[in-house]
Amino acid sequence: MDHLPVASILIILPLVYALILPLLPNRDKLLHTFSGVGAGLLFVLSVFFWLATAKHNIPVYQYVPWLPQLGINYIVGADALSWVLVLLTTFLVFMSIVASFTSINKRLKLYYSMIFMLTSAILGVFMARDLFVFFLFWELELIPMYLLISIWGGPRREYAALKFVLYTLFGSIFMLAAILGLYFLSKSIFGDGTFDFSRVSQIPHLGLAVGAQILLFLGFFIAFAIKLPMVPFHTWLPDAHVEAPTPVSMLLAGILLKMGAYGMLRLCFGWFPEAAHVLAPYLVLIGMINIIYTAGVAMVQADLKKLIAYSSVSHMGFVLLGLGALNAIGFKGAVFQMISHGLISAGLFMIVGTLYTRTHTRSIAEMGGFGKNLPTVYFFALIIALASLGLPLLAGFPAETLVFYGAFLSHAFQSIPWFGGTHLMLSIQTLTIISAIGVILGAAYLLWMFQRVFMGPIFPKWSDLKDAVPSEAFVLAGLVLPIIIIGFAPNLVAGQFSSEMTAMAAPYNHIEEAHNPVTTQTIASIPRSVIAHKKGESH
Amino acid sequence: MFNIGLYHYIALTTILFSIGLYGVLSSRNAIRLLMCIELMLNAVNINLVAFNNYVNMNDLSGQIFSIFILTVSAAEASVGLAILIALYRRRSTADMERFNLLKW
Amino acid sequence: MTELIQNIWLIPIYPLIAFAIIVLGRWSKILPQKSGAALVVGSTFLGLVHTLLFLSAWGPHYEPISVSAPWLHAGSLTLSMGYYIDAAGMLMLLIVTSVSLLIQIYTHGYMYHDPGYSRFYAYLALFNFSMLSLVLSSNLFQMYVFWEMVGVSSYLLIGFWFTRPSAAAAATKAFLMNRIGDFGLLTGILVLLYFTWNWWPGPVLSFTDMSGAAQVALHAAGPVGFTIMALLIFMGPVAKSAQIPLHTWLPDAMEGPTPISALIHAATMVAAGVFLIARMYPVFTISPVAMTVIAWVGGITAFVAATIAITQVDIKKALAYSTMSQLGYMVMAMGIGAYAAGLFHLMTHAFFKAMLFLCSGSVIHGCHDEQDMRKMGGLWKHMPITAATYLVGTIAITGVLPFSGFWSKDEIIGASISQPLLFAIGVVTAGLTAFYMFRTYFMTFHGEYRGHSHPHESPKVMWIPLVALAIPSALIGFALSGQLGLPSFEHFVHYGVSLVENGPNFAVMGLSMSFAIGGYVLAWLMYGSPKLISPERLKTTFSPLYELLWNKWYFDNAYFWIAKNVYLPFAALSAWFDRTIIDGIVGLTASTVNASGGALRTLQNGRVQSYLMIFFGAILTLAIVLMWIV
Repeated sequence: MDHLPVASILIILPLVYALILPLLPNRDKLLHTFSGVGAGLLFVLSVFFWLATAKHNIPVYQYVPWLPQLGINYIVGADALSWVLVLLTTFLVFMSIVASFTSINKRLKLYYSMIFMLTSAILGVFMARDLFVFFLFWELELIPMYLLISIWGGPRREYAALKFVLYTLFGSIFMLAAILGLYFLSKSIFGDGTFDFSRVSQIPHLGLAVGAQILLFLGFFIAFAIKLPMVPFHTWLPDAHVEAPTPVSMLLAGILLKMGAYGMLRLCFGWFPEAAHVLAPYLVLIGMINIIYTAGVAMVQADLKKLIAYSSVSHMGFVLLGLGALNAIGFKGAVFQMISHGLISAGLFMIVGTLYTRTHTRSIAEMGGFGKNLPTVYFFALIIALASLGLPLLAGFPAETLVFYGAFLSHAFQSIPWFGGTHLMLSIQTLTIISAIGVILGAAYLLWMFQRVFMGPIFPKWSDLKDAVPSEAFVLAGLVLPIIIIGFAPNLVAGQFSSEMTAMAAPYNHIEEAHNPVTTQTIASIPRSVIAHKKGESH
Repeated sequence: MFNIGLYHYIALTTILFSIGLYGVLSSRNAIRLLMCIELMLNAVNINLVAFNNYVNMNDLSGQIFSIFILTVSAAEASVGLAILIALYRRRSTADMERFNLLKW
Repeated sequence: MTELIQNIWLIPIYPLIAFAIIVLGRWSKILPQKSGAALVVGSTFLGLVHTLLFLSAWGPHYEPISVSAPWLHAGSLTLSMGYYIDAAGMLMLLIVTSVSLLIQIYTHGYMYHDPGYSRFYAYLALFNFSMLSLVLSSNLFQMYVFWEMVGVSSYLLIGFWFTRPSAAAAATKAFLMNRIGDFGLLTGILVLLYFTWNWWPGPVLSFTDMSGAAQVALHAAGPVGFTIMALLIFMGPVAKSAQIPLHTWLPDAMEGPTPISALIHAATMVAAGVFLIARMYPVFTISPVAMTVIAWVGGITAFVAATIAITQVDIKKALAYSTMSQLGYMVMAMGIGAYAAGLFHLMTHAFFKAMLFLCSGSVIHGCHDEQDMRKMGGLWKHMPITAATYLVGTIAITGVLPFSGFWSKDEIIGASISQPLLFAIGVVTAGLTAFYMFRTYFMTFHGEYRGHSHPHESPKVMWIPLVALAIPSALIGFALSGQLGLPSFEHFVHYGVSLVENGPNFAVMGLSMSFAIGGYVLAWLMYGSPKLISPERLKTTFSPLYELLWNKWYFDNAYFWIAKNVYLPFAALSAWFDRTIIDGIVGLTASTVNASGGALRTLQNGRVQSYLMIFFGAILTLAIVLMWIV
């Protein structure tokens, strides 16, 4: 275990699949089986690697010189934060490939090759420990995604695919600029240019001016904000989702958006604490807008898939809110939200997909009463929708709880003009409360959707629809099971990245300590007898 | 009589080059265009030889260069003519105005 | 064995296991069709036995027990789950297990022919799990968790017949209304935590330390902030216990099968709001403003709901408004400091209202799914047991000596005497209660049958629970009133030092009972045998008043108006903004690039010579410029 290049194996294995696939004979069943088994193996392997390394605290890290003259090295590794996302990725890829059995039926070789190439790129992003490698994988992901949308998509697929790619590339320019900025800074500070995470991340602590930090922060941030997506950079997402085939939508919502969130947490908030402190209020403000505004947009969508897409945007707002809290609770909530949202949004898109393969429509007005004919789908749709609106004992709740608690207990804004001090109207507490209205709005559009799609009398034309086939039921059950388990025992997940997030929040601890409302003096000033008085002691 | 100096050569090559350039820019027939290109190349050759003579007499790099150019231009002319013949076969014309498939 | 009994957290686990077995068993088609009842009734029975065993082992001082285990770690914050049992919790535990046991038995008869039989029992088990966990919650956060869980169980059960559009809409509405309350509760918890979170000696938000936390929060937040916090927390009970203005979901919730109306929307879940007020009493009691607001919200709800109940013709809706009104009494009791009286009424109400609803279910069942009281009448002859038990319930709720409502409700009215206006509301509402309850009784069971089907008495499995509930409905109030030599209710359940004078105040109770008798007489005159006063004439005489009541004080219309004219336009506007402005800017960027490319491509005309011309022209220009500079 110690010497196995774990991270590289996980990155390269899907690439190998992608290269084997074109060589296979062109029989649908074989291709489905190969990909399904391959993805299952990848998932099992990632779980095994994770258990084996995490159990013995073996650091997963690999350093291979690549272009050392330019400071470019192939460095990959995985810490707890990477691991949870890697596991989420391999799991969702497995699920989406099983979902493809029923929903994809043309050019399977290319399709599965592209899915595996996408997997490899995403895993690369999550495990890269060198900015150059990170950027490489970040860009590599665009190629398969473009093809997946533009070949297997809906009627406006080319428009959507192009919009997705151009939008992401637009953001990448800023990231590239920031990466180069860091590179040249490292050249002047260390003497040799480097892209290595562990060294580059030191730069902001070596006396870099706050203004420069903010510029670098924003450079990365724009790229990640587009991916997240953050209002107002979100309009590519509804188009891409509506046009993408179901399994691709699952991956898009489930994992691709997490790349933005992951980057924000690790690069922006992890490396530039001073810039993050200055910018946090604006991020929280935008996060609040993300939650409330897109919930409103989702409310009136006539297209089921678009509604789900907007709900996705709305829920990613919680990530911004949690990050902006600048404390361990909020960070943890943000990561938890990535995982919950990954599972839940994939589930929601799977539901839409199962309905679409039967009805060939996405218009909510044409649906109704599916609960009668499709009891299995109804059952899972109910659980997933409830999880999405943050019902306790399902995965969405602990995430939202942590985000709300983290943000509300935060003092990140205290010293920021206009937001902190006596400005209650724009304090993080007020913004959190407004965001919490999103809990009501989320319930409103999801339940209203559920009511219109699954409840009420069934339309005569749908009266002979069949319930979920085994592969669909497998995917739905596979997604719902972790949702329930995480909901009941959130510490199973939260415990994994607990110390990681505490460490990540450490640079921000001074903010909390400077502004706590309840000091020991306050507590000491309260008479002891008053506090000791408890219910039921009087008799 | 007067001595023939570098200026005279430069004047000659400039005139030659300008004639060639004018031909290249104005002629519509591709054959004439090719010939004008040769004219421009020759102007360059003369320039090279002349400068070699006046700047550095000991080595013959100018002359060697011009021989190289002659070789390359011969090859170029033959490739150009071949392309031209191919084009002529397709379009039955040697008019440059008509060769605009690459437009947009 | 004793250890097993000590672990009362197992009580909610039994129904959870039953739920899991039904869901998995029915999905894989292993479980037979009608096995749900046995499993769920068995699990509830186990819960009841466990509760009783624990109670017998608990004494003699009934010390509160609190156990917590961390549930979610996050940095310096750890949220826990566990169990906390004190007298109030034990009371709720007994009510929930016993009432739901009887209702689950009744359900077997009521739902026997429904295709969703097992699904119904699965939902019932889920509800039981949530409700029992809520009752046993050791801290406010855990209570919030199960607070939402009972909300969703209620959503599922209201929307049980989801193919009916009205049921689907009612379910959604109930959930959303409750979500508004949950939002308040959530923010209230956040504010409380903000001011106290590094104070908690034990697990954060635990009920055992709540009084200390309330003091700390009061010191840290100041009275205004503290009151706002208390009122935010109170929003939760307002929605859950159907108090004005978040009450409109409860009458609509009657779209669910009747056992649900009895179990959730009368006896247990709606009482959770009152229970939460009781649990958070340390917070509320040190904010006089919050207490006043609670008392007034309760009082107004009691009165408004009673007035609406007068005009209802659907038997279940009338009972629903009656429930709202009685919950108003309980909340009012909490607000005026009559902690024990409020919980006492919660208990008696749970029994008699569950029974009344089950009776109405029996009537509906007997009349072949007819709910309109105008198409009933004279059912006394056809279903005597139902009629008799309904009469017991009616007498109990109107507060006639010695039935249980007398002891509990009139104790609340008695306790409110220090606030004359609330006292007046209480007394008048008592009269209204008698009037509308006897109105439903007369309309349903007396006179001539006005329907077209053949009413019949319900099967044994349905009327036995009715009789079983009739006994506590009639007697429990007297039994625990302290008049019989038995220990009184306050002996067990009380909050610290009593804030108001507890115990029966017979002068006041006599007054309210005379109002009740007045209400009864009026109902008898209008709907009973002599029909001396014509309801129709009154309807036309007091037409504007009738309109107001018939339209339920226009609350629904107001919400509908807000949803339709405020929120949906906002949503439509954001959607338009999103598509037109934001995406428009994105599109504009793309088309600008496109257009500039279009303009530039004219330069590429395909003529080699013009390229050369430009090339040499550029070189010439460059050369001239360079010469100029040099």
